[in-house]
Amino acid sequence: MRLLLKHIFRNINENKIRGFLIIFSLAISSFVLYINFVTKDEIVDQYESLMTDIFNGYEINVVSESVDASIEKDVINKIKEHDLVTDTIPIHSEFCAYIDEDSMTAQLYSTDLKKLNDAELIETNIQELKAEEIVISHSFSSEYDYEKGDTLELVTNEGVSTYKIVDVANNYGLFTEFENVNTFVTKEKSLAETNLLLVQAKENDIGDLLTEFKEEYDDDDLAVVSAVDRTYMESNVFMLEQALIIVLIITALLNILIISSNAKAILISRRSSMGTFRSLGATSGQIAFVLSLENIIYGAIGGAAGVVLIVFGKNILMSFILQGVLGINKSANVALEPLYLLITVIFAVVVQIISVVPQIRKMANEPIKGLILGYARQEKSRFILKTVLGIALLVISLFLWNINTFYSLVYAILALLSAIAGGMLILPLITYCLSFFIEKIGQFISKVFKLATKNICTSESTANNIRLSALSITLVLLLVITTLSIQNIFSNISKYLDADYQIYGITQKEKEYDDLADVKGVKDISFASQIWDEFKVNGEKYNFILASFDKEELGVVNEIGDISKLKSGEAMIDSFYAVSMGVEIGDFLTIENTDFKSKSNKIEVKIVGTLDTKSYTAQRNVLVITPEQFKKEVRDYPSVIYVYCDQNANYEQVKRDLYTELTGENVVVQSVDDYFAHQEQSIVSIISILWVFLGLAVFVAIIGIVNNQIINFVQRKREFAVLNSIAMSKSQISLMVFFEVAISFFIGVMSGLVLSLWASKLMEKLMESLGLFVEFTFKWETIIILLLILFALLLLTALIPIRKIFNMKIINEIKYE
Amino acid sequence: MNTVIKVSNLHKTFKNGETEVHVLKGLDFNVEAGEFISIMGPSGCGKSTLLYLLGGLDYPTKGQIFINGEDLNKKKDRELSHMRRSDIGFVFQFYNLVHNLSVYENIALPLVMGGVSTSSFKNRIYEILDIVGLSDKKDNLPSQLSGGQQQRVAIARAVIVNPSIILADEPVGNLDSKNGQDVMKLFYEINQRYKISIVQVTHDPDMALYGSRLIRIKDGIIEKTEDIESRIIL
Ligand SMILES: Nc1ncnc2c1ncn2[C@@H]1O[C@H](COP(=O)(O)OP(=O)(O)OP(=O)(O)O)[C@@H](O)[C@H]1O
Ligand SMILES: [Mg+2]
Repeated sequence: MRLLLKHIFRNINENKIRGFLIIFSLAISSFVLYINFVTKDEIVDQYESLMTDIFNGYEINVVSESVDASIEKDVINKIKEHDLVTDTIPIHSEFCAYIDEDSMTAQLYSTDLKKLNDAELIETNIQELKAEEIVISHSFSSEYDYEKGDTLELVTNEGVSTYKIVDVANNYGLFTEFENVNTFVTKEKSLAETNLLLVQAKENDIGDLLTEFKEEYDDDDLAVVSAVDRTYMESNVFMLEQALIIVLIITALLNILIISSNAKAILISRRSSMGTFRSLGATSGQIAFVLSLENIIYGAIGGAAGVVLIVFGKNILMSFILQGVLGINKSANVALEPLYLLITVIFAVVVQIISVVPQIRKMANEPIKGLILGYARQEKSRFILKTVLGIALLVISLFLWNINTFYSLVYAILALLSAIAGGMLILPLITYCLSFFIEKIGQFISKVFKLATKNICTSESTANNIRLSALSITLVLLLVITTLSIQNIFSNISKYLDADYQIYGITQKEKEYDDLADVKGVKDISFASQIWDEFKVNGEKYNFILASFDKEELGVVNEIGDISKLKSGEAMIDSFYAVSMGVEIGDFLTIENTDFKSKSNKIEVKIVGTLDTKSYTAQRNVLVITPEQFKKEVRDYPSVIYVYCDQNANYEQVKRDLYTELTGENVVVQSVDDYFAHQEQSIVSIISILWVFLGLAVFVAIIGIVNNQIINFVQRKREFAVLNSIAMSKSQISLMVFFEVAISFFIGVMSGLVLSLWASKLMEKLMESLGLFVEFTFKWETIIILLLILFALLLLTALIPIRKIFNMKIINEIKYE
Repeated sequence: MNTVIKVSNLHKTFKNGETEVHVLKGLDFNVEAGEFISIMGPSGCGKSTLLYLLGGLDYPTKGQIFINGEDLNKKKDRELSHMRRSDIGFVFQFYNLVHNLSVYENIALPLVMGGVSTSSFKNRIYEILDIVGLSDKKDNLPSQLSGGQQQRVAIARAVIVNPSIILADEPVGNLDSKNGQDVMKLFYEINQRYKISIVQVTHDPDMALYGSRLIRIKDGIIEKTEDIESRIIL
């Protein structure tokens, strides 16, 4: 046994470069797995600790549900007097808009600054604020370039007012930088105007108090919430988690592909000693054992390298993720979980074993004579089997795509995976067909080119090059197309929304706002009524948009039926959402929500038609009722006012005038462009995280390709040497190799392109199944430029064998037996 | 004397797609315990094929081979492996040593396959190293040895499990005549000392003389079997 181990370790030592590459790709897989394990917990933990820091023990927030309402005095007193409550801070909180900076809104707290300071919720030297004095945060000051002594123009309930900045407080407590929310503090108002009460209690008591207060005070007017709400974040990271799992699967599959082609080369070099072992009486089981042991060791080393990578890389990557998800600049501190680490190492071993098992089985069962004499292995050509299987898988993916009208996620994933697997399997066929043509063309180019095409169909390494390049191109393009298309969501929606400003935070009836149309520069206004909330439908909870329309607008389009003919008590539902909700035309729905105007908090509707709302919201979770019913039973005021400006209006001035007109209301006027920019930003940050991971996966693929070039050279050294000694110059051989590589990458890139187009189609379905309607478009210029760049990069890897050819010592290679 | 190898009506045909090569066309012969047989014949007549069949590395198309009375056709792969590591030693033209194991470790390899602890065989390994004259090279790697020395390691490796038969395919085909003589002398000594039967294939009539009997093969059949009268006796 010791002797075998010695043998194995020496083998590993002899294959340093290949072994290193295997270990490296395993390490990356392990790393991705570990990140998968810890991401959710880390984000939620960080969120929790962040919120704990921000609220510094004042974790229970009592908030009045509507902005102009306030918390009754005796409630405040009762809470203050409660045995377990150690302190309370009454605040008047409102949203304010910052007039020069379109998208900027902030939380304006009017409260006793000294009390905040004492409670360590803020860090400032100012003891007392006068009216119209304000404290801003350090991050706001640096981002928008404001200093102590400057003035700041803000739009609040009372209209536009000018505040004097008396201090820039550290990013601490309530001023902690988080999700790009800005907070300002100004002079306190009367206790009667309190609409936010921060309640402090001892840590152990918080849970009990929260339940008690919830029961006692949580009603239509008041909400009792915990500032540190894990479940909120947990549901927020759900999408990210899904994405990470997909990345993990892709990385692992890539690894298996790369390692198996690598392992093939390593195992082939092991044939003669295995032949000797066999002639000395080793059973095929023993051969399999020795080879497996070797690969288990590879796997374990790879896993260990992964652990090293985890130890040093986890916090760096996680900080990046935190920045993307929470918008905080905080260095992560991911725990090292021994159990997860163990699973990670086991995972590396399993990936390695899965990758090599087919090879090991082949070798263990090979005829001994061939092994001993070193015959080239008679590869049973699986060409036909692979092609048939590949076509079958492609047909299956088409079939799954076709029948998946009910947005099943499982079907969508299976379709995508079988398309990619099928595409990989028919590569030999494509190679065969393409190289036939290339050879025909090649005749006119040069003899060397013709020689190169001869090797394309037969060479194992070419097949590997094609496979790896096709797969990486497919993945990169799929991601690029998806990313570019996601941005379509907004351009698509903005196509239907040609308003210039939208006003939200509205609390009064439509007719109160008719005057807005008279503001100078305003051409027209329109109202939209919608609520996005959790509703109970026939007793079950759903999260969707309840909207009212009297015609097709804002991207809501009829499918079956006509919105303009809708009667009170009738409803139309998005056809996709109907499927996922299990609702059909003719069904009666009872929809409940505590905010409904109707006494019963219920409305009843009959579904009479379906809609396509993908241009209204990418999630298509829309139910439309008539404006009359909406006003009567749901809510009698609109949720958004759209403002359309004259073409030559002074937009900035329009905004000021709108605010002036709206004085006394807690509304926000936001430019529509800015709104979309904001929405896009939030998705882009998630996508950028995906990019990092897929970057890692593609990196692994590139390693595989580089590695393949090295193996290719090592295996063909003798062939090159012989060619050089009898006929060709080194530069001719290099040219031949270059042509070979170029042709194989050309085939790979073209196949990858085609496959990625089909895969995008499937991805579209997959995202629909996740509830995200993205119309995929292909920006050809971008795609072609990207392909050219990638192709050039791939060609660069041909330099590896070419350099080696020039450095080759011919005599050594021929002499060597 | 008991028979260690019994070959009866042995046929071997290779199929390569459409073409069939009928290599061995009905061989019959016995090898008695302690015999040293030399096989000669023109290139391509099937000598190597015969040795592989005897060692169970390949399967006959027709006919039977008995090793120590047991029919190889009736043995499973696992049993054949067991037989190879306990009863048969192989020596090839190209030595076939494991390149990254030392001389000592190469010799010990068959023991490892049999699952016995090498330390209990230490003395035997030293004894054999002494016989093959490589005691001072025991920690060298094969690449640090000459061809003749490598072949002696291969022989030592074949002898270590004390088999009843050693099959050698042109063991000196790759060596100059001086080294060839030395290796043949070693075979002779092993044959005498341990009473291990040896079947060697050779092209060199001089080397054939170290054996006690010569089998000539031609066109797939045994052309002639003769006792070697001018046998070299050391
Ligand atoms: N795997 C095989 N497939 C087809 N034909 C084979 C195979 N192995 C051997 N042969 C053929 O069998 C015949 C005998 O081969 P073998 O190696 O036994 O010859 P040999 O007597 O050892 O020759 P040499 O003295 O040159 O070593 C040859 O004609 C060879 O072509
Ligand atoms: Mg031969």
